[in-house]
Amino acid sequence: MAEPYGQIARPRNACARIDRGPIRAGHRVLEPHRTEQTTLDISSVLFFLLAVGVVGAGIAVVTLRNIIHSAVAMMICFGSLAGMYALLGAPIVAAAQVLIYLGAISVLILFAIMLTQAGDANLPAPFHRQLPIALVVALAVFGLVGWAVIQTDWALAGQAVGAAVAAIATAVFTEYALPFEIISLLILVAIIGSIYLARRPEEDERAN
Amino acid sequence: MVSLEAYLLVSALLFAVGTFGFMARRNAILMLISIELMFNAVNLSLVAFNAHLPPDANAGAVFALMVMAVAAAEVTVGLALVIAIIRTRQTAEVDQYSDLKE
Repeated sequence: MAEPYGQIARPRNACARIDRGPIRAGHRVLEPHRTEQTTLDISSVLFFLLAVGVVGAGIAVVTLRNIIHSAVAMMICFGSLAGMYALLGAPIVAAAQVLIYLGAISVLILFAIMLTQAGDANLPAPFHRQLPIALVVALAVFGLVGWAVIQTDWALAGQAVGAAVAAIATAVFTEYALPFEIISLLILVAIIGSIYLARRPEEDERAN
Repeated sequence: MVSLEAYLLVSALLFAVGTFGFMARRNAILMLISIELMFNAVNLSLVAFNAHLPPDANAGAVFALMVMAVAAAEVTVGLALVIAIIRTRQTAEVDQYSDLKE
């Protein structure tokens, strides 16, 4: 892994090394992945479509007037993100995204909207009066983070490699066993708390 | 192949959109949805970083899974709170929750 490739004429055995897998730590060429962007391959097209889906649906979520439409746009955004995780080579995260966000959280939010919104036609004004401040803050956040991303030299970033599901499972139950158990406790607390909060007060008195 | 920067820029844009929605919208449920957008933006950057690390490191994917679990717990309690507030105040508009100010 010590030999820098790309700058010198590659010997035959270096090609064999590259075929076995991407070299990560030995990248001497600055940002070698940038040169590969010029070729239009299927993953770039998929990334572009999914990015348009994520960002477009995200903007639709915060701008649409009817909150039901916002929730549907949110589901499109979460689905596109699941595709992006699959494109990044993390199928277990993509599956969890579909199960948790598309399956559970979206249904929960749709139920909450159904329980709370009166179905009248005259929708209230969607935006707070601090709309200009929000716009400035959002643009500042994107500007700062985007500037940091572009300025940083991601020297170690090679090509994307998929994460093995078995390795992730092993890590969850060995290296990250304590956070895993704490999360199970947190979910128990959340269940009890939400049941307590969602209960009507008069049901208490009827029980007594 | 798509570069790491492209994923991080999409993540930053989604986070900014979530920030805007949280600050600008009046509906309490839509503020929760905006928080979910921000969670997802962070998850996307975690998975993107993980994919560009050495193959034996998978902390990013594990973190993303745990963020999802915490987000599910958060949205459960948050929606229960919002429904309880809407039941007592009869409105979902957050700028009408001004009992403490008056």
